[in-house]
Amino acid sequence: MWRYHHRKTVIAYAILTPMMIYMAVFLWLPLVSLFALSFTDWNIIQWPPRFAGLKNYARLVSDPYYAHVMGNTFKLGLSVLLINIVVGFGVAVLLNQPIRGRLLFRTLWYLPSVLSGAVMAQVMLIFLSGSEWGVLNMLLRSLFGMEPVFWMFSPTWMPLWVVLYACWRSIGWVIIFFLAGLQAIDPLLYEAAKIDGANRLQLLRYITAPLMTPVFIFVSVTGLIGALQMWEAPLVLTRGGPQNSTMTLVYSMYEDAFQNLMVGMGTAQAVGLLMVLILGIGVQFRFYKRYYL
Amino acid sequence: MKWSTLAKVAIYVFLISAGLIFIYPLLYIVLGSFTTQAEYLRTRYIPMPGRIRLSEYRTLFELGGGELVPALRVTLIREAWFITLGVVVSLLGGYAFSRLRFPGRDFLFMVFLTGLMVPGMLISLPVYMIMVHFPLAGGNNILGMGGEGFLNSWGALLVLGMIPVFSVFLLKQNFDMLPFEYEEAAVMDGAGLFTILFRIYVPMLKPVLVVIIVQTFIGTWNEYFMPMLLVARRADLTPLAVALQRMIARYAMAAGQGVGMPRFGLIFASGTLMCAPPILLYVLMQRYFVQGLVGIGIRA
Repeated sequence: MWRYHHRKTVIAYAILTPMMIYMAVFLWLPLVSLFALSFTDWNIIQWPPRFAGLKNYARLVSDPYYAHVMGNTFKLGLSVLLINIVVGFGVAVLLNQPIRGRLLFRTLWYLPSVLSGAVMAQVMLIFLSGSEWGVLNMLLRSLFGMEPVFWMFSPTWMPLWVVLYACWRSIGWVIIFFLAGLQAIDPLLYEAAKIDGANRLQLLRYITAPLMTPVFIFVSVTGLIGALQMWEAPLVLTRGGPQNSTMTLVYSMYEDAFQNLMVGMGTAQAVGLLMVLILGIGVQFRFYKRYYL
Repeated sequence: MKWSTLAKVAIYVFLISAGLIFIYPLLYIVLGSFTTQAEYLRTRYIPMPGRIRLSEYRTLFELGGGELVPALRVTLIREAWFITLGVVVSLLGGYAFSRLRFPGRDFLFMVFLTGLMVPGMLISLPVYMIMVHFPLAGGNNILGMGGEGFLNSWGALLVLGMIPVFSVFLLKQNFDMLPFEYEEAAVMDGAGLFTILFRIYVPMLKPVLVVIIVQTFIGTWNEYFMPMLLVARRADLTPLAVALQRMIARYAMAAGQGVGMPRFGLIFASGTLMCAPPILLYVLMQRYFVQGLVGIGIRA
């Protein structure tokens, strides 16, 4: 009798309990472990891990290497974000015009995002190789007659290539979101403004920009969080780059935890990134409330 | 917005050139995979194969077949596993969150959504530890000590990702938009849970399911990091992305050691092989894409 009346609840819990248990084991337990391990100086070999207080965090803020890691991550991440937003918005605006083949272009710009980042990054080795048969070098020689350049050894150029690679991989969804936002703007607004004599620049400034603000915020925050987690090129191609110039937080986490056996530092960095993530989500929430409620 | 013809032409020119520049690396790789070494070395701006030939692909399988074929097999098994699991779990989960009313539903859903917010990379180390010390797996005792756990085993490849949070979310949104009438009618005729789900709802959800299947396929096909960590030592358990990355690295690096130039055709062929299924599937899926994602809206 009870089971009949509470049929739905029983079924729901029957379905959801295994799912929640799985998530507890593979999501929440790891999260808690992240925090716990960041207060140890575990080296994977000796058990149990030794408590080390705030030593790792102290080192994160004092050690110039980690300052560089974090600063570099921000530098590269912000560059990716900026390029994606500027170029992405431009392309989205163009795609929003009455032209044919919009689907083709949209698909095209999203294509690099569906590839395997690690494998493509590895192929980039051929592109950026310093030998005369490196793709970039061959191209530059055909175009400008330039001598081959050893891109992979240059701490000034590799960050640029890593940033461009990350942009190539991630601009797709930025364009899609911008396009969706642009298409949500009622064309009647533009019509009304044009009747009042607005030119294209004014349309952009007084109609498009304000109505796109929620989309901009969303893309910026989400994009930044994503860009800060850049790892494909640093892991596969440069291993932190010539003289740590392409070092990122996630790669440093991997290196510390799996290669240097400094689990405490690795997890402390992860916790740091998690804090930034939570901050980002908080900003979104705050903004969401202001603009939608 | 009305544009003069000149402006329209300018837009097209800009879009096409920007598009070509953007897609240039991909085009380069695909075209390069059809060239012989000699042809490729004559490249000026982009490889121009005399004709479309598969000789480089054949060589790739001859030289690397021992690694490639098992890797392909591993990936295809993973695909079957995750796609089936993904569809079933997301149907059940989406249905539960949407159509079943039970205490704590909304709260549980929010808790569940935290799964979307945590990037996999961040928890990779703890997850690795959990896999290695999983109780009663791979020689472990009940405390998880002693053996290797899921390391270097099929468990490592199949256990992670069994609950596709995004798919469940997507399906829940879609369930929310469906009418109740059909289900009610079926229940009155005595239909059970699985009948309802599969004979009534699935046909209505075909677009979303296509999206989920394709996304799952692409994600599993390209997955690199966790498999790389967990299956470091067994060549017969390496998925395709990991295997190809290592192969390309070997071919490309060998050149650096003064052994001469790498066989470009091989490297480009492996790159193309890696890219082809995701690209093809994505292009074919475009039709369903908008339909399937309508349930989210720009505010998600």
